[in-house]
Amino acid sequence: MGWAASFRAILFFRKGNFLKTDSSQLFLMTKANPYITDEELVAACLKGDEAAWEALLERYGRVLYTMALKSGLGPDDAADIFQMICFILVKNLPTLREPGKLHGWLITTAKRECWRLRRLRRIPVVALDELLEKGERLEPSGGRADLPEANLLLIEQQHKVREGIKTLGLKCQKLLWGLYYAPEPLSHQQLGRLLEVSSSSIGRLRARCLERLRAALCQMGFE
Amino acid sequence: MRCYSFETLVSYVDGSLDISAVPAVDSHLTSGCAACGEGVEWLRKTLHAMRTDDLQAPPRETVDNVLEYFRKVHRKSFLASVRRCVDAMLLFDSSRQPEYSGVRSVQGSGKQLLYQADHYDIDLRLHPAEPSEYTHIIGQIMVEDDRFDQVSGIPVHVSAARTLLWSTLTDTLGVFYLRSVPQGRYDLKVVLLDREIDIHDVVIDKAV
Repeated sequence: MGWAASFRAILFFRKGNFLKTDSSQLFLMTKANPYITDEELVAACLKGDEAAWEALLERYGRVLYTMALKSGLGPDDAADIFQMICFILVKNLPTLREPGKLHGWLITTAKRECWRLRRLRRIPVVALDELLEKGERLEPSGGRADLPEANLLLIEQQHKVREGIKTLGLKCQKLLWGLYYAPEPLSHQQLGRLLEVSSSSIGRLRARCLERLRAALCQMGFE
Repeated sequence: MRCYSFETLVSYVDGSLDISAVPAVDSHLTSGCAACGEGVEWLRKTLHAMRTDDLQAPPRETVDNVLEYFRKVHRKSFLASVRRCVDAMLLFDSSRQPEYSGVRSVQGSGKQLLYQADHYDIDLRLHPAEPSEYTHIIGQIMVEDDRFDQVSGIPVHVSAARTLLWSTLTDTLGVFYLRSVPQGRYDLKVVLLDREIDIHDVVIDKAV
C-alpha cells in the first residue's frame, strides 16, 4: 500500500475501531500501516494533500497538546497552543529546511509558544534551576515552571511507542492495549477471548509483538 | 552462558517470571551480557512509557479549525494572495449607551462592540475573567447570507504597539476566542481571502 492510500486508511479507521480507555483518552486502532516519514508527509502537504495534513495532526496532536497541559496550562490554553503551532507550521512548511527534523522543530515551537502565552498572561515564568535550588519538586507545577525535561522525554517516548504500535498488526495492537494501556489490564483469559487464541499462548504472543515493536521503532529511526 | 529468549526477558521485566528463575537472569545480566542488557533496558523504558501513557488528543473542534485553515490556504493560494486593507468602523459600543432609569444595568457583566467593514460584521463580546485584570474576548465574523464557509478557519491576529502578540483561527461559525487578555489597547486583524480587516484600538480596561 502506498503512502497516499495509507492516509486514506488512517482517515477511514478514525471513524471506528477505537477502544475507549477512559473518558478523555482513545486508543486508535488501525490496520497496520507502513510508516510514512515526516519528509513524505511534509512533501504531500506542500502539494495541498489534506489527508497528509490530517495525518500530521494525528501524529503530533497528542504530543503538542499534552506538552501544553503538562506545562501547567489549562485545556483551553493548551488547545490555543496547539492551534497556534499548526498555524505557524502551515506558514513555515514551504521554508522548512529539514522536514526530517520536524519533530524537533515542533517541540521547540511548542516550548516557545507555551512560554510566550504565559508571558502574555503575565504568569511568572520561573527558571527550572531556580526551582531546583529551592528544592521544589520537578512535577507539573500549577503554571509556575516550564515543562521539566524529564517529563518532556517521557512524553516523546510515549509518542514514539504509539507511532510504532500503529505499524503493527491489529492483533498486536489489541494485545498491547489490553496489557499496558487499558485502565484495568486484561487477564490472559480475557485477552485470549478478545484475540480468539488460547490464553496459554498470550505470553509468547506478547513477546513476539514487543519484538516487532522494537524492530519497527528501530526502522523508524527511534531507537 | 547462553542468552535468554526475548520472551523470558519480557516476563522478567514484567514481573511474571517464575520466582525461582529470577536469580539466574539477574546473574546473567550482572555478568555483563550486552545483548540481554540492552533488551532489558529497552523493555523497561518501553513498558514504562506504555503504562504511564496519558497523552491526550486536542479537542476535535480545534483540529477542525486547523483543517479548515489548511484547506483555505491550499485551495485559494491564501498565503500568496494580494489583499486590500479595510479599516472596520465601530457601529455600536454597549458601554456608551445611556442607562435607562428603572432598567437593570448590564454594565459590569460585559461589553459588546460591533464593527462593520464592507459586507462583514464583526461582533466582539468582552467578558470579565479571573483574575479581574483579565478579559475574555469572544468574537464572531459575520457575512451577508450567512456564508460560513467564507469566515471559517480564518486567522485573527492580535497586536499591541505594532507587535504581534497572538493569532487564533475562527471555527466553523466564524467565532474566535481570545482568552484572558490583560488590560491594554489592542489592534485586531482579520485575514480573509481577498481583504484584511483592521480593528483598531480595542481597549480592555477594568470597566469591562
